[in-house]
Amino acid sequence: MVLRLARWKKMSALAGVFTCALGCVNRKSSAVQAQQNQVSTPSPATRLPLEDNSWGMSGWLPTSERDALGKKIPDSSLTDLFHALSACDCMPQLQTALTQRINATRGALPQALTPAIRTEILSNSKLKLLEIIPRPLDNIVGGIFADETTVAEEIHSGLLSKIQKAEPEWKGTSDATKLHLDAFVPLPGCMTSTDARTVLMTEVWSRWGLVLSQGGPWSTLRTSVAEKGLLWQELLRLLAEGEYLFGLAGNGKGENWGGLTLPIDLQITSAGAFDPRTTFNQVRFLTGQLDLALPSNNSLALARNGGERWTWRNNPIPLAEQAFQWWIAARLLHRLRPAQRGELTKYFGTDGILPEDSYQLSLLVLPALDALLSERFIDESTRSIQNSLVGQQIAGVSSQSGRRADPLTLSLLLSALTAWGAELKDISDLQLSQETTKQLASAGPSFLRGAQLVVQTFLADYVRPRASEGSYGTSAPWTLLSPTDSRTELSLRVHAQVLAALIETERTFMPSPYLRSRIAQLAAGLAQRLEEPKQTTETNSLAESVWLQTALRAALSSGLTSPLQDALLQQAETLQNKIDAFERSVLP
Amino acid sequence: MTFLRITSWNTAPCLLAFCLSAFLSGRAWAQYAGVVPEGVIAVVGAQRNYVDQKKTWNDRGQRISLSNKAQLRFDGEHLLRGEGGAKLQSLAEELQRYDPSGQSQSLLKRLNLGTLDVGGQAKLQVQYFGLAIGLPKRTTFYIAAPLIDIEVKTQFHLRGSNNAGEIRDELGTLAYDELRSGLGQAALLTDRDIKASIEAAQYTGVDSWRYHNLGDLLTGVTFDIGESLPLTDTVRLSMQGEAFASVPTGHVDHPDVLSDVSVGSGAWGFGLAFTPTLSWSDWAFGLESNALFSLSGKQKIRLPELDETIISADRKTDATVRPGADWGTTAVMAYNHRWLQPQYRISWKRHERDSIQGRLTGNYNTLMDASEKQQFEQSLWIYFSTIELYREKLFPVPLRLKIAGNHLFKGFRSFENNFFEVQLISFLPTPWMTD
Repeated sequence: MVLRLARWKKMSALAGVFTCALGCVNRKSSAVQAQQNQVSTPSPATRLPLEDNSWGMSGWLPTSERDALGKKIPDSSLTDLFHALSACDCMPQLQTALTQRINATRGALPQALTPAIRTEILSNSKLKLLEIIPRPLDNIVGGIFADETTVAEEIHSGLLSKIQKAEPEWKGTSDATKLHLDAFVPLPGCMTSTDARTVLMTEVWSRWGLVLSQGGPWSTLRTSVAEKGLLWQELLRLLAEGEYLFGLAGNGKGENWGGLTLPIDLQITSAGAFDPRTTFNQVRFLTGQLDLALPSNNSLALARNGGERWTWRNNPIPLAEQAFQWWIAARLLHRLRPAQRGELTKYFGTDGILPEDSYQLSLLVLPALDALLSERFIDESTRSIQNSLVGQQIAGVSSQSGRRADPLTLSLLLSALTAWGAELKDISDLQLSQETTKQLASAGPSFLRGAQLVVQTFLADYVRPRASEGSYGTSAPWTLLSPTDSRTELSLRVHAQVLAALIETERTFMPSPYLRSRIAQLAAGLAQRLEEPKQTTETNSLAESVWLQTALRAALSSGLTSPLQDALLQQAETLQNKIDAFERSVLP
Repeated sequence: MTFLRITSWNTAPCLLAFCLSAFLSGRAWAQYAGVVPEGVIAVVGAQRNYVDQKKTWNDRGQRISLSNKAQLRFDGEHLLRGEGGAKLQSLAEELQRYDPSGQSQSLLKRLNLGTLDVGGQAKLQVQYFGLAIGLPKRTTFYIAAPLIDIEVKTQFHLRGSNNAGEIRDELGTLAYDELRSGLGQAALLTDRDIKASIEAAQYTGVDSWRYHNLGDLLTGVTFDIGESLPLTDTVRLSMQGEAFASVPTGHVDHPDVLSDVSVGSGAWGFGLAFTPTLSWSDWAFGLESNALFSLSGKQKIRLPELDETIISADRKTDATVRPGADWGTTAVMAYNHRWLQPQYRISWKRHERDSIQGRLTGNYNTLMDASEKQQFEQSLWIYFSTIELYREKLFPVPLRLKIAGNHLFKGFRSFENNFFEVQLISFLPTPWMTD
């Protein structure tokens, strides 16, 4: 039987015009002479080097290096927790609190280098005078035209004006200096006292996930104007970051601003732009950790001259990191695409807050998704999926012989493929070229095939009956076992996360009575495990609780019958009480 | 003088060889011409017609029809072993990926495409030719060659329910398109598809097989042991011995031919026979006993992993085969008239278990078990002889015509060894003839 994963068509011919993702700060702000105050721009903490932890994601941070909020979180990986919250959206108070922290934290990239702000600075009529000043003198004379307070007030005013289009009642934050558009804000919970400027991609996606999970302005749960205003601003920051990550904006004279993508084969490791409108030969992607060096701390000098340098830390490429990115990108498309806008349609377009075609940002990950999956992470001949790529594997010239993907990585990949498969079922609302539309329409079967392989891998390697007796009606309890030790059950957290991914996939993308019955058995296994006394050696991470709640909610909505339904309901209530109690203990 | 041996020890229990292995199993001691006088050459020719082989004896000594000799269950587990051919094996392997737990409700164990009844029949004829020369001291040297004509025809019939379509629907979009398509095709499985699958496993002779060629050659010496001893005034005891060798010139089971059978042993064999005879007046009672021991021989076989009947082509291996010993005893009651000599014979024959060894890991026991056989027979021979008339110059040539019928009344893993035989021996004088 020939099992061939069809290649996704390259999206390098993406012909849709990707305009500035951010509608830019209020162009009426007059005196934006950016001189960024070094003292007021705390640098994000240095992340620990990429760790090949239990699920392939990186970015764990010792409790001793966290701030007060971070210390209250028992999880070793904050990106892991953010991922869980993105999937569950079941701790609204904590999510809001975390968003507020993000909103008040300065980022690694000064806002003068954020394309939206940079454009404003350079187009400001009062600053035209600066054109006669030799650029090396920017650091000396920049402060003459504007101090940092003025710049902050102008930006605050511009942002406020923009967001008030959607939330007229929103007054912004009380402290004007906290309303800013720095990019790459560190995850809340981390210390911010060190000087290093660095960007860890998983943290970027984690933050995006937190913003998107709350539905941004779409959320019906969040009625508070303040909350909605915050989310609008974070959505703008998200798009500004996306624009910078891919280097989509520039000075109009052929110079791209930003661009943190790397060529897919990593033959060279200097970061650069990836704009499918112009890049035809080399697919580029985002990965790992990049350190930033600035030539100056003067905002005016930065805006006029740029010159920032990014250095990529050469590390293995985990599939989990990429899959997480793809999943977040699919969620971004879901939030921004015309078909999902509803009453918010009026806020898109030239006079709105967001560009009409902002959803196209999410499509930029597809070329790399294609190249990485079909040529590198997935080995068609052995039907195996690699956990990470190193050396020759990255260049796609080496047979894959590394470690096979662990269950959590597989669940992330499944979620990403499912999300993309669901998003691309109907693309009639997207304004794309005929060729791009055709390519996207034909990608659906490839996403399905990839998802089939992942689910089959779960069933073949991990899913087994539980050794214990008892059942819930017709559903005998099943579990996930270690492929190397058939007596060892994988952790509750893994069980829950995999179950949640399987339910979502079966429901939205892969209808299968057989898979449905196996899901019911895995749900029965989860219920049985939760009823058993907890092992003292098991860690009690918040992410585990959130994932358990995610899985229980998903299972409850999947049409199970009593008595399994009753057992799950009881467990879900107990767990929600536990989560609520944790929220109350963490938040003031 | 023993002229004919037909041997089969089925080394590949492939689809029809398994069914027909009993056709030619065991040792068929066909001819006993005795010691030829010194200087005389005996020329033997014979035709033996077996009944059509429509039934066979199983390992429990039951006579069963060959029309449904084997039932091949086309369920998941058997398909996984390759019994439905490579394509269905791939299908089963793919299905196993979805639930390798091995539980009774697993997809693989639930898969059932029906049961394939495999049957057939065979026609068998044997001609044999021999030459014997009387040597001094009442010793005779002989050589004999059997010419075997066997035709095997095979029938397939698929019956029972087929749930491949249900499993395809149950899997839904979880299954690759290839698997869904495969299950769809499996749901429409026919006898013809199965035959095509078997042929795809590099088998030939799926529908029929014919062999018309030599069996194992036999050569040896027969001799009288001393003079006949008078026990009483009317009763005398005579003893005859024989040493013989079997030459492996007959066909042995070919690993790529599905319905062939072995008509040779594939190895050199050496045997001894001993026959004491009591005679009184015109009557005689003899007890013929013989034993044959074989050397080892190399043979290419398809080795089953478990007990599959259709064995995949990649399981071919070179094996060292040592046929088990053959034993036989026949009690003979004869009446000697001048030109008419009828005999009633009752026989027991046994072929011990073969020894089969090879480098490939697999189920050698299945092959070896299938080689053990046993037969209980009776036969009536009637000789019409002109030898006395020739001696009295009442007939121009010395001839002996044998008309015989053989009936197998009990067998274990045996074919229907029922036949009718006509044999003619003529005796030619030589210059060295003593009288």
